[in-house]
Amino acid sequence: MNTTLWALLAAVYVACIVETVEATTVVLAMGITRGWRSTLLGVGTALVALAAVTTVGGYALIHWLPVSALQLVIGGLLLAFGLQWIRKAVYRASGRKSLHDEDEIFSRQLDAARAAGERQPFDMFGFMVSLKSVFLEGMEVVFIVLTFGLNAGRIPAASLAAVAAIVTVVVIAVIARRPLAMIPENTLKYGVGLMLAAFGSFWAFEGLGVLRAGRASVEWPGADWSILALLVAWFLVSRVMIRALRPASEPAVDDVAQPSEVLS
Amino acid sequence: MNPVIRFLKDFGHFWIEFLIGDDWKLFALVVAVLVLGGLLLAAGAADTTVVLACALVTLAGFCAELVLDLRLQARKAHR
Repeated sequence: MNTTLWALLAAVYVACIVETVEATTVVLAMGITRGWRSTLLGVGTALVALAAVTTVGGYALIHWLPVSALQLVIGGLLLAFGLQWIRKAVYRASGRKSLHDEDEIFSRQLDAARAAGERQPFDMFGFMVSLKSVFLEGMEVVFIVLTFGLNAGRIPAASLAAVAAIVTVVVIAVIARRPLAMIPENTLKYGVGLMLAAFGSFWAFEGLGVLRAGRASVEWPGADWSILALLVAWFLVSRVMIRALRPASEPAVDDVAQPSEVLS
Repeated sequence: MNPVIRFLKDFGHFWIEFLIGDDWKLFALVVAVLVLGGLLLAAGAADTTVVLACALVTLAGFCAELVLDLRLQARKAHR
């Protein structure tokens, strides 16, 4: 396997860890307060819906779009997605936005579940909240697997990385039986944002070739090595922005965050 | 609200949030850079020129957007 494929698998694995942790927090809160029957039924229904969306979406993308169009559309979306993640990471690290806290989210979900009233014979609240959470977070996983997998022509490898991430989180959650706040989510999100932006820029600008005669992809100097250069460029720009946006009068987030959440 | 309708509403909101995010200016930046790349290609620019120009404009545009966003937030807070 080459370096690009390893980087791709790492991006899919880490991105899926982040999304699965977020879904797991909500599922745990619903299971504990509303009962596991309706919660797990919601999770199962979401997984079936996700499988259907993945099959239909993957088939349509593979068969309907030429390679350069796929690169342009998917690369553009990945780039937009990556910029949002880096923006949030820059704001969090510079102290302009509070850090993502799974314990706090878990506590909010518990309060909401307790306030939702008595359970019917079948608890619709627990079912819908877990269905929505797993489906929406799962859609992000599907998007990342399909985009990375299709552009690199490695759908099975990307799917395997996603399944490995989901199994990792579920096993830890079953053992810990509490929200996975120990996973350094803010740092992981920052890393994933950098990778999404690097791969997104690479594929989107390659895909511009769909606009010229013959539709041949635009060539980057250094081919795949450009992805590494883009990764370095995005990292440097984000560090400069973290430093530039830090309020002069307030302590840096790096000084007040938990050691695992430090972004440097 | 009916849970199914609420789910559909959340699903629609999710896609807007997912594709455009909470800052539409970044999505607009990506679209603008792709239009720029298309224009450069149409003008006969070399591949290297196209990808490097697009990458540099994206990096610079991202920095400018963050600064602009903070200024807008500060102005809102003052009002």
